[in-house]
Amino acid sequence: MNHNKKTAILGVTGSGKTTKLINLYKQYINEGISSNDILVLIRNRGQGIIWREKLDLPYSSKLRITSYFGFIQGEIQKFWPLISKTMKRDFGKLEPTFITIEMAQFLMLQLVEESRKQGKLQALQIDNDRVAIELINNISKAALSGVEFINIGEILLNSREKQDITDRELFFQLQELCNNYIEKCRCLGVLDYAMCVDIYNRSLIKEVVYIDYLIRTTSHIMVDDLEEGVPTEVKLLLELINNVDSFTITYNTDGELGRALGSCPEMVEESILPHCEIHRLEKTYTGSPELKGLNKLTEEIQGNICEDLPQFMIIDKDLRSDMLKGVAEKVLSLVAEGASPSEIAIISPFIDPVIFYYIEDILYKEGYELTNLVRNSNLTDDTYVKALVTVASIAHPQWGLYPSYDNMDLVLSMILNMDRIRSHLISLEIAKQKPYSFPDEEELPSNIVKRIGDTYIKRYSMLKNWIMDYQNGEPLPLYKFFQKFFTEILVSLPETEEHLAACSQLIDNCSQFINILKEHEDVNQVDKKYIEFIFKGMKASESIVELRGKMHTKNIILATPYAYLTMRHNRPIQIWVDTSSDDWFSHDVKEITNPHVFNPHWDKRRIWTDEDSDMYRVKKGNIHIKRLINRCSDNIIFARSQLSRYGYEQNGILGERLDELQTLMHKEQIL
Amino acid sequence: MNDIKLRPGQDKVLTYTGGRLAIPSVPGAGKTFTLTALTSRLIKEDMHLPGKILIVTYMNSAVNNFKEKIGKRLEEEGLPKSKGFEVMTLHSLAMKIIKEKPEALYLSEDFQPIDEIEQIRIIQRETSRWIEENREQFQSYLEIKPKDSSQKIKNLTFIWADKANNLAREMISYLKSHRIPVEGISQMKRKIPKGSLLEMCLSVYEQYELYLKYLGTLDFDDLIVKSIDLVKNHGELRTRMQGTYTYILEDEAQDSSILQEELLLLLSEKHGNLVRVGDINQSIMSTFTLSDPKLFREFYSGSKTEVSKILTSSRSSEDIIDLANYLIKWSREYHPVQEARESLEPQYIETVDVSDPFQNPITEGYTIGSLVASTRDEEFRRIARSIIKQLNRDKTIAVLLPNAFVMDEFREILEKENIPYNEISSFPKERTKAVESLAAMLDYMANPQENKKLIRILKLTLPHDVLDNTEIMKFLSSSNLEELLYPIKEKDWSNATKEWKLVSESLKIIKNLLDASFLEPEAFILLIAENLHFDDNQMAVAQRIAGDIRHMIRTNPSWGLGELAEQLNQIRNLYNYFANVVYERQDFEAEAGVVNIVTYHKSKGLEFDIVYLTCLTSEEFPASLTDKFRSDFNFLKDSYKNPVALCKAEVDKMLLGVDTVDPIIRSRLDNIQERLRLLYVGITRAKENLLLSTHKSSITNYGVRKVMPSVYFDVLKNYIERGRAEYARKLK
Repeated sequence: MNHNKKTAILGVTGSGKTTKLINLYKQYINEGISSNDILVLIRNRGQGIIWREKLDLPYSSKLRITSYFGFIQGEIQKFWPLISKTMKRDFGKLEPTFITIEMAQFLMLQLVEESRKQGKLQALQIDNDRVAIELINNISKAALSGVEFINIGEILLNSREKQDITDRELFFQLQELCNNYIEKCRCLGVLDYAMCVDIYNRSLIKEVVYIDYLIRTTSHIMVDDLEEGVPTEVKLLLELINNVDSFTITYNTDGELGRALGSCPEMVEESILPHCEIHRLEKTYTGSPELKGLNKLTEEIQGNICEDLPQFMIIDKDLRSDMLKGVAEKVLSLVAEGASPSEIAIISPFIDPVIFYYIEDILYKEGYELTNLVRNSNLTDDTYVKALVTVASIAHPQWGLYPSYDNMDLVLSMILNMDRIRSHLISLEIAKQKPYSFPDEEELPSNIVKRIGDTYIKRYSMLKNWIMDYQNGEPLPLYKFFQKFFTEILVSLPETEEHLAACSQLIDNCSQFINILKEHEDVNQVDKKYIEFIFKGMKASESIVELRGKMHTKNIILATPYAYLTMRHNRPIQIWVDTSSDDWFSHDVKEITNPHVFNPHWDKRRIWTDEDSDMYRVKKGNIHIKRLINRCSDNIIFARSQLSRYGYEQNGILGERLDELQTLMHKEQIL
Repeated sequence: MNDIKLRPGQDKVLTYTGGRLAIPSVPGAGKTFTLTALTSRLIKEDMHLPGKILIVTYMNSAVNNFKEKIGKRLEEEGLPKSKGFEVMTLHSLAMKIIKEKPEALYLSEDFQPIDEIEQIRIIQRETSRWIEENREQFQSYLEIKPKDSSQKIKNLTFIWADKANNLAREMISYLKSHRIPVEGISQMKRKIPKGSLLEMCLSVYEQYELYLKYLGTLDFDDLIVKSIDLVKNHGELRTRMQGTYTYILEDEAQDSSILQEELLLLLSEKHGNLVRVGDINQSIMSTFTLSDPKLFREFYSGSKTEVSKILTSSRSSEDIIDLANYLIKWSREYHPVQEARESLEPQYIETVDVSDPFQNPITEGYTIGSLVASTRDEEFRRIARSIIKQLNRDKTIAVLLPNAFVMDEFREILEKENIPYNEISSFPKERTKAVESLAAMLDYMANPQENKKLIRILKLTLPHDVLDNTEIMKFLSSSNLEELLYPIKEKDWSNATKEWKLVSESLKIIKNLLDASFLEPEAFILLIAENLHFDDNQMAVAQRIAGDIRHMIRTNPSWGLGELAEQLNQIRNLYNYFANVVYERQDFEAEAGVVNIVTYHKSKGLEFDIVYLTCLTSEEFPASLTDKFRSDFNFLKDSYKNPVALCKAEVDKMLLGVDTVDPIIRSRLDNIQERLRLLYVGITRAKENLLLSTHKSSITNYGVRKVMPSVYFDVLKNYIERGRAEYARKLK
């Protein structure tokens, strides 16, 4: 093997870059190289699945195939004592505690609420949740780009066109929030995503002992899709590039998908590619030459006639609801004409519950299923989780929480196997007392007992007694209560299997939440906060099994361009919906976030202009379009509505380009 | 396009290539046709490149009408139907501009403006609060006589409170249009004399704005003001927006307000191509909005503006055109109030020439009449009798009424006489049906044991007569619902009557929905919509609501179905804008065999074969400064009689240094002018038959009230009689 061979495999979407990289990996293994010596950086869990499936190694030592962040987390864990020592900070723990994005948002939200109470953030017309989410986003982007947290407010403010006293005050307050947040995490001894990246790059990587170790244990580096690489990741690679036996990357020339997440391909082009021997793959295996003409949609189409333009269909309606109906009907007619559901993808720039439920329902009636690739569900959407949280609220009257009637009805009808009306009659009785409590059978009015019936009343008494026993026993931490109720009551219900993953997510998450906060706050308050936090809409995490299911599903799929592309679907028929909406070319700049200005390539003295905004959004939209076309082998159908879901006229860029394309087709036909 | 015969004026418009052009045109002159033809010609010749043509109109229905007509023409030319142009209401345009840069206003990109009805609700709440806290001051404006009973004072306070809402609303709009930010209010408050009526308006404005901020939203006035500010203050956005539209065409330009005009002038600055079509004689919006006919007049009198008048119209019969023209001529020469002689422009309607493919209707006999009744009730009854005779003639019929209150009265008579009618109002009841049904259904699902709520939703699914059946009603209202829906032992319906079977089917649907009520709320809403067999329009509204549900729950995590139902009932008005857009996609087409009832205002833009102009009294159509004015509130002290005029004058004085000598007189004068134009609009709706009617008294809660026929009625009646005599003479 050549020592220090640096290779970059460049190619369009679907040209076989990843396959080539995986084959190289297999070759190394076959040559006797230990998998432990090969560090593979991939983008996401979906890619991880592809790697593992395609590798299918009969034997190997430990696999080091991980995302950049997964890699960092592992290293921090491994070198925690060293970090504690170099940062001269006693974290008070032997191991780092990593928190989820939701937990980070929760901690930030508390600070935002406090700040609003003090009369700050007046200029903002957005709610507290959103402020918290945006601030956490800012902190993450800053970390990935290597920007110090204390500079966030200033960088954002400097990029704004208007910087009067209100703006200055606002961004000062936002910076204050970021500072307080970091301090709070330090106090609690926890690390969020951004802090991990920051600690790794600002401290661990600078330790000679560590770098020596890393070089010693890594002979080969492979990076898949480095066009998505973030600045700190590229810097890490630059540290290693000359110190390994081989360095191989793939790079998609159609462009990056994660610009708003911090990707900085220009840095790769400037600092990595010049070191590498370039291999180009020109042909796409997943696209179709017939659809090539549609790439016109990625340009400002001029009046030229395009000879290779395919025939295409537009479902054109006034109302969005009519368009969705049209899409569902089109899918059914395609299937009736012989297409397999596994050949069809519906692509929408945003997936709201309406598009999913509405189309799903129409297809379901005809015997077809629709799989939504975009994870969007809340943990409490799971009925078992809802039941656990509701029962916990009633069983702990000291919290002063009042679950809704629907949730109580749900618990009763699920556990007692009873209808909605009888359940509701009992819920009304529970709610008669403040705080809510399960009345004894004897305390229930006789007419209610009669209406509910003996069988159900018996079951009710059993549930009631369980709660009584719990309340009279030793107090348990909330997550233990969940465990107990799940194993003693819920587990006996018929469909427990389906809800297992969600319930165990709840229990793990709850234990983390409580363990973090309990040392600083009253335990009862922490429990109560957790219940409120859960109801606020904590997202359900996606298990590997679910993700694999989504990647291999034979159903018709519904996806955003991003989800479709990152899960590497190749469906012969794509239906693009809402093409007149501007969401196909959406802005990344929000009220208080701008992911682009943290990028090392951004001149931080400059003002972010509309031209910049437009340039980036057009670029992003174009990349999506180009890559989607390269992942479609037969036909693309477009659907649009004149009015948006809110009833406003819409004239998005894609819609206009489709119009232009239609004009070209007309001209061609006339000629 | 060339084979279509163009009328005088239209031909000139169609040679337009650039610059400012005003097209004053008479009723029925074919404004839509002209703008449509112009747009498609410009597109066909690629004149719009590199930008587009923007058509701005004020009505949702007009948007689609334009789109369809232009699209059709383009297709005929072998071009794609949505190429090169955009049609938008002014609000859509303002939204589009703000959505280009919401972050500059610290607004979230998915913010939604509140609509008028929701705005009224908030203002009502804030006004009531102010009145509650300042009752003494509020009552001090009332004209209270020593002998007035406390009940009477209470009643007057109640009426005044109702009017105060409108006052606050108008003033908020006025202040916004003068760009008085809420931050400037406390300063203004210090400047006004103690006890000024404006004090209330300013306080309500303050609270209202705070609430909008809390909601993270804007109202329609803000949309326009903020979009202008954005275009003005952000150079790049301005360049981009100005570059986007090569030509701007405005329909109904006489209804433009100074802000609307400012926005269009700003957007057309770069290319300088602005075409405005309108008819000053049909300017009837200035009392309700901040529109001002003067603006259009100034535009076409400007030296930079080319003018191309379209005066021919084939809509009405020659006699009706003569009557309309006579009203113009008479008012310019003989109107008793000197200043009102300018109300109608000397823009006379001409009939088309013989070669025109669309000829003016020719009637059998003289088909204009007048009617004086002793009471309003009698007037309406006589009209109803006349309608019955006309119903089978295969002609479209409309009755124009002065306001919604009178419309209710007339509707009752139609219902009694079993005359089929169609109500053309700004918000017909059918449009709220989707929201109401969903709210009622959620409300029941949250309280599934309540018989009354079950019956309420059964009314949504069952024919009326089923619930008229007392036996069924008794059964439904006395049963335990768990036994009805989830019986331990299933009931056998096989031998039941048809009505009972219908009930059982509906119960089955409800039971299915109850079983599904644990679904995620968005899915559940869509499921209800499907089970209630919502039509496409209702489904659009249901989807809009389902789309908002997640946000509602996220911001109020403890909410269940009951709270959602309550919220939906409270904010149902939020969906009115959307519902209007959905339902008004098609232009209104009158049908024969049904009588259309419509206010004078809402009749603009419509045409009917037979038109009844009702209630032509001096109160509705005042012609002298001493007439009774609807804008005057007699229950207020003399100096406060017209609170809107008073408050506006106070603001003008404070901000512009303009001292209106007598704001009440000024406002009466404006009123006389606008009502005269409203009458002109009414007359010009008729194609063939026209009946003018009035009455001498009306019966109110306080007894019989004498009213005078309007001066215009007398003038026109004389003209009609002369016309009729002339006709008879000719016949002989």
